[in-house]
Amino acid sequence: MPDMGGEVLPGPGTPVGAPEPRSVWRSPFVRTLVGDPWTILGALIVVLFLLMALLAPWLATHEPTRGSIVARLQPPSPEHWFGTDGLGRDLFSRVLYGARLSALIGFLAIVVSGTIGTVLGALAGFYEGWTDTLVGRTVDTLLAFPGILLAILVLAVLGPGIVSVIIAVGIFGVPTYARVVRATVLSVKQFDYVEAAAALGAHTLIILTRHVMRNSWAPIIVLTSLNFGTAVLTASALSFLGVGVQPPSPEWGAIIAEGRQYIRVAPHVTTITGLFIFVTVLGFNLLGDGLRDASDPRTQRR
Amino acid sequence: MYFARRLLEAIPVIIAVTFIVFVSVRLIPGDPARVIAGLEATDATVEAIRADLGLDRPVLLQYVVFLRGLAVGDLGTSYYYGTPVIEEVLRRFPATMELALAGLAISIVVGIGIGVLSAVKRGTWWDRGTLVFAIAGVSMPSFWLALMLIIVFAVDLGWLPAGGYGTWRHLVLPAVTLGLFGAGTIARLTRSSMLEVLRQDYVRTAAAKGLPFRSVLFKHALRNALVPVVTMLGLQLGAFLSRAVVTETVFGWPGIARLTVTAVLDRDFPLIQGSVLWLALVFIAANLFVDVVYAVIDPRIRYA
Repeated sequence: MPDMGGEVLPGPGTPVGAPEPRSVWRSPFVRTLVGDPWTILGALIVVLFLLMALLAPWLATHEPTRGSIVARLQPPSPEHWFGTDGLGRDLFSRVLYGARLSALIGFLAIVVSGTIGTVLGALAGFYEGWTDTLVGRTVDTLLAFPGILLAILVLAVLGPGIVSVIIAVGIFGVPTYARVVRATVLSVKQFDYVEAAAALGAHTLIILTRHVMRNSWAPIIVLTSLNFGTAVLTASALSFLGVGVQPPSPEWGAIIAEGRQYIRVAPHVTTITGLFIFVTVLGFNLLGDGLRDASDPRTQRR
Repeated sequence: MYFARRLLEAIPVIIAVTFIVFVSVRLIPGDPARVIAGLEATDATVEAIRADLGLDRPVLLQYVVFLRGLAVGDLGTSYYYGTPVIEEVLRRFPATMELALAGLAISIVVGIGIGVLSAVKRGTWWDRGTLVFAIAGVSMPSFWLALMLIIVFAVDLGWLPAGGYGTWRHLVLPAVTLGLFGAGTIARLTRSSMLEVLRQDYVRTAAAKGLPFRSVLFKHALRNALVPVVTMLGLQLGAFLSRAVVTETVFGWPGIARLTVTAVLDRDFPLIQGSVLWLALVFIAANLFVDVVYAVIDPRIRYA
């Protein structure tokens, strides 16, 4: 007989109830979070990525947009740690500045989708009725454009560039926020203390912000970590396709699109840059998964 | 009955999608009449072309004309190719389906296989490896994976072509690029769903009455474990098509996703409009199909 695993996970009937007092639930959360090596690895990657982004001007060994024709397509060396690209620019410095661009685009895109999505989702979940139907239809319509296609359409309208990519990737992330926030608000709303606040005559807006939203943050934070990774991935894909951030900007996707031309003679340009996208997104996903497990009572370590 | 209701619910979404596509394409900066007329054209020529395209009429009227055209399959004429958009779309679509189905097949076979195995071998190194594989799959940029596969299998080993279309050899690398991404997610969900089902009483009963392990696993457990997997397949279709857009571009695959990207780069408005609309409609249809499959697998859905 294989291990059925019944002793580790609680049965489906385990109550997943109202939030417990902070001091009690905080410890299993933290314990689950730091107890998982993958989450720690994810957090480490995210911190390193943010450090790269913040310190790029000080860490860079060369000017990221200035090249030298004699130094074209050099493999990694003590002078150029990651080698040089097709225009003789230092790849290490370009990748560092690319982290800066990715962090900026990811952050602002999350602000766009987080704000719009949270407001839409909170309104839909709180008021239900026709507000819910309207938001639901809007989200359905956004989701009817498969994946990156909506972002491509937005970029077709706005034209290429960093600001356009931020808006496109931001709109791309709205549906997930709206759905998760709506579901969370719907469940939080059921708790007695929300009903009590309403019975005491609290203003709807106060109930929504102070009582409902304040207890809905956990899924939003998890989603933000996962969405940050998706935003980095989407932005680089758009730039790779040529509709996003344009060369000579050292955006990771744009670097790979340029490096692709020399893939036979200088594969290091695409290989190294792609590795950075991969590891960065992996970091955000590992951290997001860890946060989700830690905030879910069913997977917490007690 | 259930299907009819889902179909009715899709109608407002379809109308909203046509409206968004129509408005977006008209918001694109640049005057299509001037694009067609060329740089040397006089204002009179541009005016004539504009009237010819119906662009001088009120926008709402243009939308009605657009919808009427849509109803009979007329999506306008591509600026770049000079052919009807619908012809171009239909010509490119089979290649996309071919790639998507091949990729999906790889995802499902590899994903469910690995997922079941890791549920059975729970807690072993294989199980932990599956989780890493799954999360790596969704974190990897597909254009990068595609280029790495090209470097190894086309440039270094020379086993497969680096791009193009025609034989099965051309299909392998793009399909693997697309399939590996889905496989990880499917494996992960199959695993957790199997673990959930394996705990149920009816599985224990089946095992207790002496049925062979293989029979319990596939007949009793896997069938029920697949319900959430099918749902997720539906939810993943969008991400899957995103990857298809990128994959087609890298491998020079002559599908509709690549057509859309080149239309954006060429500012070919009718073609952008037609191909985006087509992909959105196909996507809505695919989701409907998943809903139906879902209802067939799990009878509870039909009465919900």
